[in-house]
Amino acid sequence: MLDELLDEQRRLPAVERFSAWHDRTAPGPGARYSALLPASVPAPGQQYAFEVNLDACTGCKACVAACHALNGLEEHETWRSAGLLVSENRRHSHRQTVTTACHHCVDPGCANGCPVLAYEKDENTGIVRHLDDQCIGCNYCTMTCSYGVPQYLPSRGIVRKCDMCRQRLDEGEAPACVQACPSGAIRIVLVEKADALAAARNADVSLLPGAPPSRITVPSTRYVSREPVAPTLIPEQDRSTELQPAHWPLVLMLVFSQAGAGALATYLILPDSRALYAAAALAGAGNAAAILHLGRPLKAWRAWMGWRKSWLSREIITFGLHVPPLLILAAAAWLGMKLPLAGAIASLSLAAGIAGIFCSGMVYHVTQRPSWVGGRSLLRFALTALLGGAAAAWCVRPETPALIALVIAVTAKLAAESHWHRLAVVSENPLLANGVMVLNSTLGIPYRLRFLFLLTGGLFLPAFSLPAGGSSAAFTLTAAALLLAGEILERLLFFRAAMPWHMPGWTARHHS
Amino acid sequence: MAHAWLDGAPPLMSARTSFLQFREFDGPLTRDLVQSPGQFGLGNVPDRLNPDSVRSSVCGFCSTGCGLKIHLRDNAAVNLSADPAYPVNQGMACPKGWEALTPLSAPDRATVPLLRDPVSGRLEPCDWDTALQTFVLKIRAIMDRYGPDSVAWIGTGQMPNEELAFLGALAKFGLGFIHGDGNTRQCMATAVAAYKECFGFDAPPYTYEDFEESDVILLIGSNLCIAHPILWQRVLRNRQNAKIIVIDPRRTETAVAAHEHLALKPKSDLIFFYAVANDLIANGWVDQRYIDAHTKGYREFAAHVAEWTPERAATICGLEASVIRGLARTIHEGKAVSFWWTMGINQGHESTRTAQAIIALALMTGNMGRPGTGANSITGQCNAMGSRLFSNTTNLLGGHDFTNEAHRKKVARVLGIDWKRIPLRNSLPYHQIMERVAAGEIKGLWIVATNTAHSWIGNGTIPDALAKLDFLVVQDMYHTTETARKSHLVLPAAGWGEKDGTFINSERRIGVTRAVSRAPGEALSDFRILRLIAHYAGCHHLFGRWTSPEAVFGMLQELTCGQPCDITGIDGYDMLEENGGIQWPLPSPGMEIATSSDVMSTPRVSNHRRLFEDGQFFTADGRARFVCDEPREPAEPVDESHPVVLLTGRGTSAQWHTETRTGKSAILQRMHPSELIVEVHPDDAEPLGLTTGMWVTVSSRRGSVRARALVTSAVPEGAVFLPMHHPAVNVLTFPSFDPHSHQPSYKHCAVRLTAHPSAAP
Repeated sequence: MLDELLDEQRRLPAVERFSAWHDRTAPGPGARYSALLPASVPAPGQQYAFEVNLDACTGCKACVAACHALNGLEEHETWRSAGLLVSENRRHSHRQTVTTACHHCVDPGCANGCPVLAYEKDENTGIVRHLDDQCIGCNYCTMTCSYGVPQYLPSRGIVRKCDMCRQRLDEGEAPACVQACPSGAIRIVLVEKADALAAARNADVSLLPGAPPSRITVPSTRYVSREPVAPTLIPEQDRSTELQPAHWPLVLMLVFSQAGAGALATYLILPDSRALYAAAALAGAGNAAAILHLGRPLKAWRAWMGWRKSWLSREIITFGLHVPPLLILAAAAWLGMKLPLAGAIASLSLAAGIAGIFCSGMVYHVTQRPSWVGGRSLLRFALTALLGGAAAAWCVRPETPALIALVIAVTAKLAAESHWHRLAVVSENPLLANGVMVLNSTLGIPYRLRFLFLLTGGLFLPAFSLPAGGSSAAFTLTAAALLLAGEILERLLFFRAAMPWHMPGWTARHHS
Repeated sequence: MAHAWLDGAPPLMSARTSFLQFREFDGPLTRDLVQSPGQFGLGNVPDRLNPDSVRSSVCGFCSTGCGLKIHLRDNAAVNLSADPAYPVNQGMACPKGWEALTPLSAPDRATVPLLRDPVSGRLEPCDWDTALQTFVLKIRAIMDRYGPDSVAWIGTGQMPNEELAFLGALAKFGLGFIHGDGNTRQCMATAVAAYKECFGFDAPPYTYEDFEESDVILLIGSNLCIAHPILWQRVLRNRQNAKIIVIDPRRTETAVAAHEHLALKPKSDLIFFYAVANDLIANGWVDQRYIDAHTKGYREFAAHVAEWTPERAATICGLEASVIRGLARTIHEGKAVSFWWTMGINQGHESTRTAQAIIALALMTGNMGRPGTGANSITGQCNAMGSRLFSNTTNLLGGHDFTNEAHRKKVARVLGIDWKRIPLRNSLPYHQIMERVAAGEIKGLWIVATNTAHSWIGNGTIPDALAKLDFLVVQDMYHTTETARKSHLVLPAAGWGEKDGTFINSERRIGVTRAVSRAPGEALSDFRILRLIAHYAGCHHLFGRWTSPEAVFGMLQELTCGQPCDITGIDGYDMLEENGGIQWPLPSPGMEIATSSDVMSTPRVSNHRRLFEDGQFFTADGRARFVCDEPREPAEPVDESHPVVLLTGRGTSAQWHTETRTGKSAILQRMHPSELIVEVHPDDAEPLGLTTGMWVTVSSRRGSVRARALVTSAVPEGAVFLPMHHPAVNVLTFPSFDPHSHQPSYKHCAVRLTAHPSAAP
């Protein structure tokens, strides 16, 4: 009996038993969604957009699950998310669920950042589509989208995102989330792109309390409600205290490439081939590390394609001009070969390296993450190059001029970082405040070590060794290693504590 | 560019050319997400998952009872969508429904029986033969030594009728158990007790269409928007421009969406309804004709509520008297007023009387038996209603009475067993079973498809109690539930979607649930496990006809013959499926029952039928009863040391009870905060220096839990809210029980808060 029942359990009833179902043709999903779709295709200047009726959105979150199921997404993957806003106001007791997906922005951050043109904003529909096979998995769009929309899938090595179910729209069928909403809270509407642009012009405008400024990407989504949403509402769980992905390859790429460019500059001032070797080794290692960051490194050759808009593309191009000549120079020096125009080549490589560092700074600046804007990226990276140059100088000639350069670089770094820290502490922007909070709590140990390494490697060791009548090689290299480690920690914190803009309650888990 | 599906696309989707040849518009990754039109009334579906057949199945989470279309490829489920043809949900589902298949493939499924090794103390895999022999030997040894009162089972509202009935019949008639109860005690016992006394039978009178036909909808202690989202959809389809009023201490999602929210103080509800009744009577806003013709006990009720004037109730309820009077006026002015309640009422210390006060309001205003009316309990679990009729715990199978000899004989005749095998005594309710476990009097406990160690009120005492058992068997889909971890034997069960059967939803609709997925390893449906236990216990001769769920369904139909829930007119599962489920009653043509609803005359059964349209109730005299009582204080009032009331309840629509299933879906897990969140009113937070995001300890006299504070005026001052899904929450709750329904009072206990301003996450 046992075997019989085990066997019975393993057999599923044959389909034939249910053949009646084949005849039962339920009404197709088309008809009853017509009210939720626009009557016509977008006219010139218009595009499709999600419209969410906040009064009708009552928190069932069916849209989130239906997006996953009807699009056949990965186990943890869904392109819609739901958050909750609540009120602290005693006189205005409130609870507002917010459903959010891709905003198919008028000026899409994902597309602007993509180095390989893997995003296509359809001219007619305005849908921002991700070309999955074009993607190289660089993750940059996960940073340039201020809504956290693109999600990286390690299993596929690419990101994916909402395409407004354009295949369904093509058939006159409503997107999955629109179909699945029991309250009809989500519609597809036509919006004038010019209206969206005009609305986003005001620096303070955002889609909802806690959402990023609309000026960054000009989202097309419309949130509508009878009463305006109170700006004092707060998200149930503000995820902006969550540690961000470390992006180790990027940490190493940035530090190595910047220190390497600094070392190259040192080589041009103090023509000691050891500085050249250091520059080449660092730059080469930085480039190699960058490749490791890609989900699909074999497609990396495409990275020039986005140069018109993408700072990442420009960064890759400039470092492409910086590194190979540097490696050739170093190899020639190593082999004792005399290259014609070696000085000019080195200068050009350095120029490309400096341009590359500028591009690196812009890569992060344009994301508009508060902890990455302006000098926080650009000056930071330049100072790492300065420090790298000073350290290289100290290594090849541990004398007073190099020490002075080191002192200047270390002081500048300390001054800049403490300045940014102070600004963050007094900032009203919760993203900056939360960044400081995690530096003082979860990341407290690496944060302190970072300064210990910088001061020890950049000031104490050199300062002690100089009066002692010069530095031994071991002593010098220890100092350099500490400085490098300190910069790596600094850059790690740069990523981990960089709290991103996000929609209220947005719960996408990042995969690094 | 080769992108096949774009070739046929309308010119809308422009494909740019020029140097974009370097861009791959198509390829294996793109094709992963290509859609194609599905058959079977489906729209576009992922091409990869385009089904070659579909099968309808009723969802196995809540009592809404939505129809799901399971998409099959090669005879196995690959996806699902909401069934547009099913009359309950009409093409919609909540996230749990959409994710119903996901928990089946969780890595912690129990795939083989597990037996606790006496030496290592660990649960070790064993074969079914060993497991079943152990089960029978241990249970028999305990019963031989300590008698039939020394064993009990705790069942569930999550299993189909056929399995519930088998479990109850096997335990009581085959193995000789006296005591068995279900987790439905935690959710629905109050509605049962209230209906039985007032209507003469446990009979929720409504059909979901009543949501659409009311002009006043009262939602009482019911967060419909997230607990029953598909029923909220029905509210939104209301055609009468209904006024929606929510009565709840918390500003819930539903309270926000309603037209009016009456935020009464926690557990002041009985007094509140008495005051509403008082005002209706004082203004003469009662339907005397209905009262005279169809009810009994009105005069006593009126006299009882006479002292509860709105003014007197106002201070206790924390509302203005004018608000109470306003509600009475709204009820009076409504032409079709429906009263809906859920756990806010059922899980109270005087819950049966509170539910009966709601019933009284409906009766006295004649809001009963007409479209859009009724005193309507919205049930919890997918088959709580089935468990009420067929679990053989409180009621003898089919809504019968163990203490009634005629009933015992009838049931024995239908089942073909000796009527003396049917116990004369009623079971102990859940809390008394647990008390006897703790006292060491019950020594063998069999827990099926529920998670006592997590869900039981004041669960801090459960580990010690369970440790006293000589033998604890847990029959479950997962070997990782808090309860299974404490067991001596785990029997691996197939889950929803891996077996056939029927569920009864809140509106009495019987729907079919289907096997669409293979159970992992050697897991067996509960039905098959029960067959094996009967076989090993040597009582299989009693269950010769219990060969398949559908065969058992036939017997259950026969058992209902002549009962208010008579379903003898149903012709097998196929008829249920073709009709999109069928509400009870449906007697065979020609059978007389105690209600006069439109009985089917055509093959298609009316999809929306309500009870008591003729004003005839199931009491002996056909009259509904007014029942009232003296209001009492909650069992653990707040005081100086514990000054705050703890409210517990549903966290989000994505979470189900102890999350043994919903916790297995990465998608559902994304829909709620990963940390335990406690809602605190600003006035309670301020003196503690508590701000949103800060850690706070919530402690009662029984234990404590750490949670992140969410400072919000959505909870009333003096109260905090914790979602019930976290295992530590019921450490706090105070085990008090309604005296009539024995339902635990989860909605009120005293706690205090301690803020941790500097604690790291």
